[in-house]
Amino acid sequence: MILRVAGVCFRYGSLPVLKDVTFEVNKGEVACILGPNGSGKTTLLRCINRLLRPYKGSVLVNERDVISLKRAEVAKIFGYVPQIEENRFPLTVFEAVMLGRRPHMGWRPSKRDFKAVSDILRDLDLEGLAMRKVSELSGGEWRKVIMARALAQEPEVLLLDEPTNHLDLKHQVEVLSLVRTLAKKKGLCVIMAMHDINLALRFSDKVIVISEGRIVFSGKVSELSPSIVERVYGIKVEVLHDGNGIPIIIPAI
Amino acid sequence: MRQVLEEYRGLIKRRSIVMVSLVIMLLSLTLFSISIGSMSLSLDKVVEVLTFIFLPSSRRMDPSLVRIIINLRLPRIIMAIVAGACLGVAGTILQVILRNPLASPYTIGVTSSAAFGAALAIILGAGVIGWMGKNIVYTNPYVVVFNAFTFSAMCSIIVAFLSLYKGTSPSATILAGIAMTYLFSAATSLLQYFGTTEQIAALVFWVFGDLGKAEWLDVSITSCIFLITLPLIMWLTGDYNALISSDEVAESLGVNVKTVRIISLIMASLLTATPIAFVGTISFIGLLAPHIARLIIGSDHRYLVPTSALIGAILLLAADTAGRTVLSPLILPVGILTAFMGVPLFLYLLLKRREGYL
Repeated sequence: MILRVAGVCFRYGSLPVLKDVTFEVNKGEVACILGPNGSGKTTLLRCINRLLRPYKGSVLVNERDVISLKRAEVAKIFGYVPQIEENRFPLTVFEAVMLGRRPHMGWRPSKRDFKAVSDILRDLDLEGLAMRKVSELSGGEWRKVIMARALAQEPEVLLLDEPTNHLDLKHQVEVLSLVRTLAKKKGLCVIMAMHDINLALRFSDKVIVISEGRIVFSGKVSELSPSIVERVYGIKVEVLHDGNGIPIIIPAI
Repeated sequence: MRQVLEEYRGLIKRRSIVMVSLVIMLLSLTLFSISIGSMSLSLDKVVEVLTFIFLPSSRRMDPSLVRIIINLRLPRIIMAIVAGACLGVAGTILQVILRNPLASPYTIGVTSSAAFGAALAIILGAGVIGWMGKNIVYTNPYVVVFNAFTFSAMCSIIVAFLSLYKGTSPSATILAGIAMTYLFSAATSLLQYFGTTEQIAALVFWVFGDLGKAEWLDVSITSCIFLITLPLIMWLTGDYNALISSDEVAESLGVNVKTVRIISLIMASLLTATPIAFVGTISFIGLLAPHIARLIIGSDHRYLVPTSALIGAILLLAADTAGRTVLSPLILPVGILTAFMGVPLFLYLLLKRREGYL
């Protein structure tokens, strides 16, 4: 399994947002997309998921172009966790996760759907919350529920937009460890847009740095040089090493 | 894992019990409602007459009694049930597709455009009216009905197109609906300015929403609309669940958001325009029923839609039964009673804004 984004260009009206974006992510790999605010990270995720249609380029999963597929087909390939999600009419956690079965199920959930949902609730340690209303959950729990819903889609690619937003340190580590474990265990391809560089580097195999809609770096975590970060974010940085080959980047003051 | 599924099954069971109890409530209310009126009957008698009507037997029955029930009480009561169910379902699907707990058939302009259609018929003379004591008699009431229906249909088509033009976002749809509401209210005021006192009185009577106007033909047409739209709406309930969070999430779950929104908008308009064209404006049932239903059954639309229908029917029938009894022998139009229902709802929402509804 391989996800290949090839020459994707996108514009809002006449404003170009993505310019010739090309990269690849392999099965079982976690890739993070870094870049300053407004660089096009979220737009890129939406283009991959076909929530937005690029005017040029293609998104290939196993050599199959996603752009021409039906919505329901796309939903079987990509699980998507948006940055913010509100909930106006509260469902129970069980029902919220069951929504992820939407692309697979008919009008009534089948035995397989029930099994998939209860397995995921167990894997994510959400069983105790299953009958709670989602409006009664804490920020961290709600994130996990959305993640569980995306996993219930049994996707090949998981797209996460700022998965650690608004989470405390414990939940940040918990959510990202979970993502990493799932990627390895289920052979998922994970792409996550992140703001926290160090957190992102710690849990990723691959880094994609994007600036003004263009990819400026794409490669292994250990290969990310401070000069790229300085150029993209426009500040001076220092690099420390944690001994495992993962760089720690801090602003130089 | 076992345990989670057990818990979920328990939840489904509780929901089924709630729905069955609502059906029983509706049936008993119906019997009670048939029994009261200027000629009050015992419940035994009501059951006896009903069995006579539906299962004809050789037994003899007072023909005037049968006539009262068939021609006067049943159409009114069945119309209350069907119209209430229509409005409850319309409100539920509008609230979810517009993702707004305050959305109702009013929000998309269906009611004010129906009133405009009626005004056009009553004041510009497409329907001729007479003045007989306290009763307004239209020589051809179906001209008014047809007008009301045509204009609400027209209004919802305009709203659907305007919202489609802006990518069918909830806010675009609501703004388009509000614009149409103002347009048609202004146009109705303009017509009223040129109307005679009698014509304006007739229009006011029409706007009041009175189930006493309902005849068997009206009841049948409204029931047909309900029975045709309901299966389609039930088919879309899974998509409605996905639409709760956002368009983006629904799309990522494989829902074709634009199509679902436009179809639902049309269904909701039909479900509202039909009963309103026959009986006049009935406010708040479409807003109140979904809220009560959501409170007792949760937000899974597979259960919420039928529950809203049941609650809408119970509310409207209860309101009409009250309207027939409180100032008896004077009968209050049900539209006036339901208008009061909005007050406790909004006060409740104001005091208990916990569930993230607003």
